[in-house]
Amino acid sequence: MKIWSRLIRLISDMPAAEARRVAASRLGVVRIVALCCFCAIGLRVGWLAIDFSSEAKAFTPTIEQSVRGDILDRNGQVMATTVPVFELYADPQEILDPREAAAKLATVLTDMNEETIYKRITRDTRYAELAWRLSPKKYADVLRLGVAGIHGRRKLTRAYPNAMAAAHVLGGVNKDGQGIAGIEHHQNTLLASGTDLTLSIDLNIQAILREEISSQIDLFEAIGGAGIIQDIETGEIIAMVSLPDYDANHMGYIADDHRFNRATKGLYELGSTFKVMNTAMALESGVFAETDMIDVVSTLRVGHHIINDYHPEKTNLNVAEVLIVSSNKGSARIADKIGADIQKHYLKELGFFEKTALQLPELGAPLIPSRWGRAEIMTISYGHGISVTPVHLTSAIATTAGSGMLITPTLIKQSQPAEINVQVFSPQTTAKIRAMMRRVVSHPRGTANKADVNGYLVAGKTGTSEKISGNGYDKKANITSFVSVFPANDPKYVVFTMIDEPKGQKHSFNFATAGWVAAPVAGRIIQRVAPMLGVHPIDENMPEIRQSLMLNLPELEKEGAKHASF
Amino acid sequence: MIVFSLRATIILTLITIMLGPLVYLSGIRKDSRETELMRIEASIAETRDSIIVLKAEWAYLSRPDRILQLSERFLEVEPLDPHQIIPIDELNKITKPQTNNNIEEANLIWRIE
Repeated sequence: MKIWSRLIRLISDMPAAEARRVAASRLGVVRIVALCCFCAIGLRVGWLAIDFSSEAKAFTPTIEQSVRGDILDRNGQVMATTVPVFELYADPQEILDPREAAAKLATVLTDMNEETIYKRITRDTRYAELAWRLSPKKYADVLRLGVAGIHGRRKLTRAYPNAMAAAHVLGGVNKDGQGIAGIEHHQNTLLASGTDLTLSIDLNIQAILREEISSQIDLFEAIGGAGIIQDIETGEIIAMVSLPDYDANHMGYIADDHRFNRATKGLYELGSTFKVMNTAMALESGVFAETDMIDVVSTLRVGHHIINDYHPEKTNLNVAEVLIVSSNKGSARIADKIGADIQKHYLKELGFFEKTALQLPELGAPLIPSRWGRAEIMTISYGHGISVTPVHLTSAIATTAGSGMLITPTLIKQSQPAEINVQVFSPQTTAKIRAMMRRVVSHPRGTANKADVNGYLVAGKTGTSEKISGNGYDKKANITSFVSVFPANDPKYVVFTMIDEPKGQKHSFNFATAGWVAAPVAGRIIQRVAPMLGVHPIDENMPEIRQSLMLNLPELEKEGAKHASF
Repeated sequence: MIVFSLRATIILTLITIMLGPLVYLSGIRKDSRETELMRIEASIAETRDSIIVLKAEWAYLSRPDRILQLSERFLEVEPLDPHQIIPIDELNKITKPQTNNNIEEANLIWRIE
């Protein structure tokens, strides 16, 4: 008020011309202020007209930023993916006629009967769960029923369409979608960031491997089994199965025995399959040539133990023949001469002293003797006194019967051959080993005749060992295994089969040894998967192939002449 | 000193009056565009959902053990036998037997092989 009265006094005191000038200048100021206001309003209006304001976006359904990445097989088939599902629940207070609602819901929710649904929706609560994960299609069906008081909440869940095929490889996730087992756990960070993961697994091969091992387990009333198919050059695991297995979609409810991965975590004394490595180190170290004769007749005593053969020999055999007929005595005598240092050196190089590098949390650490005495040297030569996982063995065989370069197993698809620069065995040694392993399958005295498949030149080695129980061995519980490569002249894949505690059957004349149990199933697997893997049958009698598999076997050839069948 | 003449004031007023509805109309258009955008985004999200679900369903339906069962039931095919596979350059030897050019015999040999 004070200012106002002062202003009026100021003007009224002024001469007329002066007063007009002041008034005009004030008017100008007012005009500019008004103009500024209009400009501001105009700009704001214009801004509103072109602005895609953020409040509108709040109502759009958001597309999840980082959905967990898919797991694909080597051909791009989905093994694990994240799908939207609906949690279905009822608010009993909103339901008008529970009887009718239950009857209607029962037509869609087929895994519950009408009575169960009725009980749930009449509970004194505001939240009655009806289904934990409903597919969008089923949820739409529920909505179409038009029952009041039924609600759904959208959420994401992990789904494994090939639930049983490779459960142990995949593992599983918990309710928060975090990997808790298998590759889901090992590669959790990558998958959680939304990146897809392509495995080395081929689902088609995987299905065949699983089916064959499973039927052999049934046939021999065994308690379990395992199988591995590995690329001999890249180390990629093409298929890997451990039985019994489980449905990866319901991992939370699975018994421990089913969860246990026999192929990567199970530690076994794999028996005579170790003779392959024993022979390879004998040749590579230069301690033996394949034609050197070994005493397999006289008694072999180490301390209080006597090392025996399953089939006692009447004449001495050479190094190659020792492997072919699978003589424990012969292998032990070879190892005895090689000595602990060389044996340890090669076993270490082949990876038998530590866990494998496989991308799984479920890995077994080998059990090796703390004291490496003469008895240990001898028993290890035929696979006793050392417990390793099947993956250890397949990878070691990939090295020993492949190019001789160190092969490390992997579950991730490799775009190019691995950079390997550790040469464990020379190509000459591995070629001889393959020729011997081929005879194990093709020679009548070999232990794996039942693994022979016309044209694919299967080369392998059987192993039967008694399971450890308490302080000793259980004579009735065997682990039978067979490890093979094919084709012998140019090996592409390693195939490992193992059947746990098979029981002798009428059709096997009560035998439950590897030659009767683990070898035939490998043959069947190779026959089915070889064409899919692009390995074509060849004629073994072609001169260059005969040449590549040539061996000098004086004793066996003498017998072969007696056996007209060879 | 800015002094607006009467004429200028009238013209500016008219322009302002004309701009009013224009701003209003573009506001409305913006609203409808935004609704359209929301609808499209919702439908994208829905389509993505169904792609994910369909992919999972496809993987489920085309799982090898199921295909094997179906083929055993509906097709007369069995796993390949090594005898049924030959390298492409050996195909020649079978379709054209060197001993005879008789087509019927060639067919016969083809079948036996």
